[in-house]
Amino acid sequence: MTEYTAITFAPVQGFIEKSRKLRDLYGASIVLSYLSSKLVESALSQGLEVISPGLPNLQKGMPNRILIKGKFERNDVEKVLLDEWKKVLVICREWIEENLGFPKDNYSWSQTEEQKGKQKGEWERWESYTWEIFWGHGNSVDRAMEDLETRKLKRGWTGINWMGESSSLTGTDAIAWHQLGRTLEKGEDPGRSLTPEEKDALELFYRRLSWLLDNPDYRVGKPHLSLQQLRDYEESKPEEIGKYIAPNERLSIPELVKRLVTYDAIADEIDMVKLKPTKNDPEFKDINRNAGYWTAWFMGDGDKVGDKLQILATRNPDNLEEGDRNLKTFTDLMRNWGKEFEKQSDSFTAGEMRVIYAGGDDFLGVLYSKESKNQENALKIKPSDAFEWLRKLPIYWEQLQKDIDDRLKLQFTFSVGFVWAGHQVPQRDILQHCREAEKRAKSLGRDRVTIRVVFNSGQYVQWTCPWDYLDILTKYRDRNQKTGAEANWNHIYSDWAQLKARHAIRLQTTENNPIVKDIALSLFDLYFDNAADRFRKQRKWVYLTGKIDDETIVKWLDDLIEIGWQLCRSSSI
Amino acid sequence: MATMSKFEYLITISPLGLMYGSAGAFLSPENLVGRSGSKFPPDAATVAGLFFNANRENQFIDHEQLQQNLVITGPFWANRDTPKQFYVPIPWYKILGDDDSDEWTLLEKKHNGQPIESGKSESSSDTQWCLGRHEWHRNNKDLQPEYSWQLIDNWEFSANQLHKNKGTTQAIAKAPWEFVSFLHPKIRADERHVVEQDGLFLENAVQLDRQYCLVYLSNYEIPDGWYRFGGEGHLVELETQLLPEKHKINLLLEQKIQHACALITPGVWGSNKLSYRYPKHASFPRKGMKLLTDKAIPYRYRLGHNKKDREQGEEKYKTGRLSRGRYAMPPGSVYVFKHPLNMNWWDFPDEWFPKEGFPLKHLGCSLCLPVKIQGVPQ
Repeated sequence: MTEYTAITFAPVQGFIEKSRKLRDLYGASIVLSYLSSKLVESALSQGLEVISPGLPNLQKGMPNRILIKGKFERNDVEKVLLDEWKKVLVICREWIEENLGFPKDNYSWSQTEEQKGKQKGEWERWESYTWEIFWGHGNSVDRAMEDLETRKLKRGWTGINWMGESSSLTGTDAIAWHQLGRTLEKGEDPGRSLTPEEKDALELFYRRLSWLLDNPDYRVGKPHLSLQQLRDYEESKPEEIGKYIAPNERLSIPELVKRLVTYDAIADEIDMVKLKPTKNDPEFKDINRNAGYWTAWFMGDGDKVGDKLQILATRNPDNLEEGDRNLKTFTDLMRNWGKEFEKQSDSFTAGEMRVIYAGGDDFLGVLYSKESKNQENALKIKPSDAFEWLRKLPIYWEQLQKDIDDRLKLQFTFSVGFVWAGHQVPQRDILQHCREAEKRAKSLGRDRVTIRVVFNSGQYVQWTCPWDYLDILTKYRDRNQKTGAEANWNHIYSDWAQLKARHAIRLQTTENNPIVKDIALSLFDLYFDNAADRFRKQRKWVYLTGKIDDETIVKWLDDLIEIGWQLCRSSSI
Repeated sequence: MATMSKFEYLITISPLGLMYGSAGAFLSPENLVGRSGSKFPPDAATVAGLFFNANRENQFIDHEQLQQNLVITGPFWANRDTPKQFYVPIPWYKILGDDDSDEWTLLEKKHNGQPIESGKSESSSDTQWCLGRHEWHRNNKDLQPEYSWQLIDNWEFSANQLHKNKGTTQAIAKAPWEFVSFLHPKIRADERHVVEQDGLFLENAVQLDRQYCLVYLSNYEIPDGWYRFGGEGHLVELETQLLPEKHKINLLLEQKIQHACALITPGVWGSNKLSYRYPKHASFPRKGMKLLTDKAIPYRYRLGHNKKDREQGEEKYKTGRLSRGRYAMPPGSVYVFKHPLNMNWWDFPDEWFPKEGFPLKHLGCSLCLPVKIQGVPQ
């Protein structure tokens, strides 16, 4: 009997989202790819065939949905994953213990020799309870995938409780430091606050770690500085610290690990993909998020990938081999695409671009201004630059769409969340915005982009549009018949605002006043060359907005104008 | 506890202005609008804390007695005019979208790729019902839940019935609060003057529509009045009213849970070290259990102040102490048992709950009500 195994694990989005720095994003994504690749490796070594992901030998960007022909026992899956994760944790922990200059017996955060097999320490708890593993099995690809989904409904987490202050990054989970998990003296309250001495010890831990990692090639093995020296050092060179860990950050164990694996010596020891593949690669710089510098983030995902896999798997019920082959072709195409897309760092000429991960059908990236020593001359990316780039994004998957259609007769599209964010919006929030935006693009019909502009206040405006109509924003024509970069968006923006203020255009239904679209549409026609009229004649409204009722249409226009004003107006106005 | 089997009071909390919407140590001058730490509405523990404080200042109940016997639960919410018709989290087997609804049911496992409807196969009848042979099934897997609250009065309604009554009786609802950022001056304690360092910060505040209030249930009465509630010194108006013995929630809580129940408050289980998805106590029938749930949600609150803290000075007295950080099953999670449980939440032994001085059952954790799921015998 033919058998199939489907495997995945969690958290993925959550693991990536708990980020403060770009480095966290890379670290998280590298860890996830590493664990997936080890599962794939182990399956291959058992003589099993890996149907998906394609390119099983490429660790970077390895997605964590794994489909295998044959039976990969659940216990084996769990063992491989936990063993590999344990290896990562042990290497990180030992690196700290060996290099931070605290006596070995100062560490109470992992189990002692005597405790082995009896009682876990903090690190051992994270070894066991970081991941939820989901597994499915069946005699067809389809069944294996469904089995996995069914089992996933009950989840599989165990939470690690914590006392005292928590990570400064997520607000949950205990702060990792050498005294974490210390056995309590008799009568000592586990929930008490730290004594001043303990507070100093914790600060020293983070300052030493931060200092070492800022220049590990030179500092590892050198005599250790005292707390006062480290504080003075920060005072004298505030610009040069905190490349890996800011001295005031307080991280949990997994957060610490995400940072540490981006240090190449540690990555080498684990045999993990390095952030800087060769020593001479340009230094990894965080993005410029100084006052006034906005960044653009894009998170995208192929539409209904699971369904596509099912279609391919079940299309030829009498020819399973054919089904497997098609699946392989599909995932190979996807992963090749991801690999190529990841290289697209020079496609954004107005500033810098980085693809943080491209795992095949999903990707995350950022457009930003380069950090420069001389703040005044630093280039600022303009919202219109970011928008221009976004408009061209579909070019990158046109060939993929064509290949998938030619070879597999499948329509394949992407939904993207695009977030233009002010410098004060915390990074972990930006990622949540990205995810919500992407979700919205999907829920409004897929093959769409949701653009969300997030202000420093945390407020945002958003608009969702099918890719092929995104250029509607470029069709704007102001009262002086100017278009493109010349156009003055003030004209429509203020007209619209005036009409809203006078309730000629309303966005909310009150008892006696339903929303009516006529005036809104007329105004839109005036400024957008009768676009509304065309949409009506071509029966495009449902496609554009999802629904045809007046409220939906007026709100869509409101969002369009808001986003247009934010992204397309020239900054000189 | 043994004698308690009803909630006798309904506590409504109406914000006077904004409320606080963040959790944990998030906000700093660099990161002003911590959105990922959003937490609203406050858990019942917060009301319990308020209760203990109020009682300490103005003793209306013997404090020892209160500490031992108080049971308080929530959060729920309601229209201010009709607080007894409050909204509770929708059990996750009911999926309520904007235009459609769907339900998870238990079907007999597929044979030749086709699920067998319960009761229609030869081997399956209620008497032979065996959980292991059944699996979750849904017709419209694309439908995303858009609503997460339903009226307690309509607890037994199917997803379809709830959806039908969406417009007429507001049987289902979306949360009536919004997160808004709010520029906040930090005032010195002794002067009407902004503190010098980081005197301004942008707060992740919550705006609850004026029409609505938060609802908690308890077995003791708190004097009506204005209280500080939920952080950052925001004021609320608190009112307690009698909850009839025959109120829907009490009737539901009286019913013994047989094969299935759903959480309407965060489900906190586990030991001091670890949080679990269900009690690990030997008397809990976990074998062969089926669940519908999701990722863990963090669960933490500020403990009331013990005597020692109060003696240690004003500052500590004010802030209280953080409890142990735990993870909880999100409200709405569904449990299906192999053998009838034949217990209601009041009957759950204290040993099932984590203990933090007192069992967390007293903070209304893991409050669950019986549900009827298609394919599960009643």
